[in-house]
Amino acid sequence: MLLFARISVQNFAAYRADFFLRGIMSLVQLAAELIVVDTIFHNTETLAGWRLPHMLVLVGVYRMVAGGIRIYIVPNMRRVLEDIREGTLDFVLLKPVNSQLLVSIREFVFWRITDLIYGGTAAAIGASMLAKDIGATQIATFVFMLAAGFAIIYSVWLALATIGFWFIRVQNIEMVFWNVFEAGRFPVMIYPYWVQWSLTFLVPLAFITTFPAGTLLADPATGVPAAAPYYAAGIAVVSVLLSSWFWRFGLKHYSGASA
Amino acid sequence: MAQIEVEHLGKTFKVPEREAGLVASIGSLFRRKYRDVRAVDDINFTVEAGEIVGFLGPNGAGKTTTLKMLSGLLHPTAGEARVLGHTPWKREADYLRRISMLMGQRSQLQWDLPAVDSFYMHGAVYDIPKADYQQTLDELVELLAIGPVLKKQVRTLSLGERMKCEICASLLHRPAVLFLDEPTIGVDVEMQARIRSFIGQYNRKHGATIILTSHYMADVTALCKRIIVIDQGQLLFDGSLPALSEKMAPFKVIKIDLDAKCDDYPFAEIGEVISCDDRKVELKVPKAEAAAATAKLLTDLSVLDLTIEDPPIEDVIKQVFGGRAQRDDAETTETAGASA
Repeated sequence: MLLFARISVQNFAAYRADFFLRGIMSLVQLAAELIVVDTIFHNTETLAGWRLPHMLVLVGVYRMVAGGIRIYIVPNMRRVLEDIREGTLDFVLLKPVNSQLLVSIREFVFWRITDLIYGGTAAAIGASMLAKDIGATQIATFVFMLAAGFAIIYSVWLALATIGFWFIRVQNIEMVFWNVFEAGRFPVMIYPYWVQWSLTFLVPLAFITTFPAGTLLADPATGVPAAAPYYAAGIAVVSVLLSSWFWRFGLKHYSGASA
Repeated sequence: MAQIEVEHLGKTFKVPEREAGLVASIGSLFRRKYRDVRAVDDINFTVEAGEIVGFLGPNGAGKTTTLKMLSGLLHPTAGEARVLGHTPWKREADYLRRISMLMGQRSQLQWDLPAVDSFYMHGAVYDIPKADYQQTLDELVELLAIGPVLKKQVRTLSLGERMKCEICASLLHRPAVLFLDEPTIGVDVEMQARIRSFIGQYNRKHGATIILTSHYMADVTALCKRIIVIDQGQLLFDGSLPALSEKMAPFKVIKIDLDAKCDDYPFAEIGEVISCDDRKVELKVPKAEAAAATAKLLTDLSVLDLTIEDPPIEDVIKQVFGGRAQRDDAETTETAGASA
C-alpha cells in the first residue's frame, strides 16, 4: 500500500507546480461552504438543534470525509471502471494478490491532503467554540465513527464500480454520487422524515457526516442517537461484506475488452 | 506429465443485438435481444511440460479467449481445464504466482515512470525475495539488452523497447507456464527475431511451458514444434508443422528454371500457375500428381533447374481460413465477432 502511495507521489511530483494552485482551490471550496453556514446563522439561531459551532464541526467533517474520498476511494474506483472498460483489469486479475485489495489501493491523490488539513482545522475551531471540553473517549468514538463512515462509503463505491461489469458506461455515477453526497453538508435532521430515513438506511449518509460530527459534540440537542456508534459498526460490517461479495460475483461476469 | 489439460472447454458470450434504425434503437432500450456467440466451442488438448505450442487462427477465432480462460481471467461456460494442477479461474495465488500472461496490445507498465519502478512494484506484488529479484532482473536485462532504457520513462520508449520491458516484467517471477498473446505485434522484423530468440532461450533454460499466439508465421515456425489451429472457436488441427501442411495443404510447389522463354506452353494444364516470370515458373500441383507433372515438364521443356517444395505455411493457413470464409459466405452463417 505504501508502495502504491509512493508511486502516486512520484507520479505527482512530475506536476508539482499544480500543488499550490490546487491547495488554494480547496481552500476556496471550504470558504464557500462556510459562507453558506454563516448566512444561515444570520437568520436563525439553530438549525434542527445545531448551532453555529456545531455546524462548523459538521462542515469540517464533511470536508475531511470528502477529501478522504477524493484521496483514496474515488480515484481508485474511477480506475476500476476504466480498467473494466478497456480490459486492463486483466493485469490486476493476473496478480497473485486479492483483486479487491489491489484495485482499492492503486491510486492516491496526494494533493487532496489539503482537504484533510482545512477540514480538520474548521472542525477544531468549531469544537473550541463550545463551552465544554471534549474528552478523549469522545475523540476516540469520533475517530471510530469516521473510520466506519469511510468503510461504508468505500463499500458503496466498490458496489458502484462493480456495476461496471454489466453496464460498461457508468461514468456519470460519480456525478450522481457527489450530488447526493452534498446533502451531507447539513445535519440529516433538517430534512423531511422520509429523506432522513433514506439518508440513514438506504444511502447511509447520516453515518458519514452527521453522526460522526454528532458523537464528537455529544450534545443531545443535535438529535444524534447515543447508540449511533453501534449502528455505524453494524452497517459498516454488513456493507463491507456485501460489497465484497458483490465484487466477487461481478468478476465472474468480467469478459474483458476485445483484444 | 501434462501441465495443461483442457477438456471440452467452451465460452459463450451474450452479445446484444439490434436492428438498424431509430425505432429499433429505442426498442432495444426496453427489450434487448441477445445472440449467443460461441467464442470457444468444445476444445480439447493437453500440453506437456517444456513444450512451446503455437495457436493459429484468424481474428475472432477464439485464441485470446482460450488463453484468457487458461490464465484465469475468464470463467468458461462449459468444460474443464487444469494448469499446473490448478483450475485457472479459481485464481488461487499459488497458481497466479507460477504463470504469466503477456498481451502484446496492452501495457502493464506504469506509463509515467521508468520501467525499473514498474519492475520493482511487480517484485513487491509477487513477493519475490530481494536476492532472487535482483538476480532475475540482472539476467533478463542482459538477455533482452534493456540496460540503457531501464531508467527512461515508459512513455518515451519505442514500441520494441517497451515490448522488451513488458516481457521482462512478465518473467520476473520466473513463471513455469507462459501465455504469450501476440508478443511481437507491431515491432519491426529485427526486433521480432530478437524477441523470438529470447523466448526460445527462456524456454530451453527454464523448461517453461509456453503457449503463443501470433499473426506472424515466422514466430510460429521458428519457435513451435507443435501447432494448434483454431477457427470459429473450434479446434481444427493439433500436431506438428509438417503434419499441418500435409493435412491442410495437399499440394506441392514446383519451381522451374528454363533455358529459353516458353510463353506458349500450357502450364495451366499441369497445375495452378503461381508466377510466370520470363524463364522462372512456379506451379501449384496436387500432391498425388506432383511426380507425373515433374516428369512431363522435364520431357516437354528444356529445364535448367527444378525444385519441389512444400508450400509456405502462410499459404497453408490462408488456404485453410480462406476456404472456411468462402464456405461461410455460401451458408450465410453469422461470424463470431465478439471477443477474440
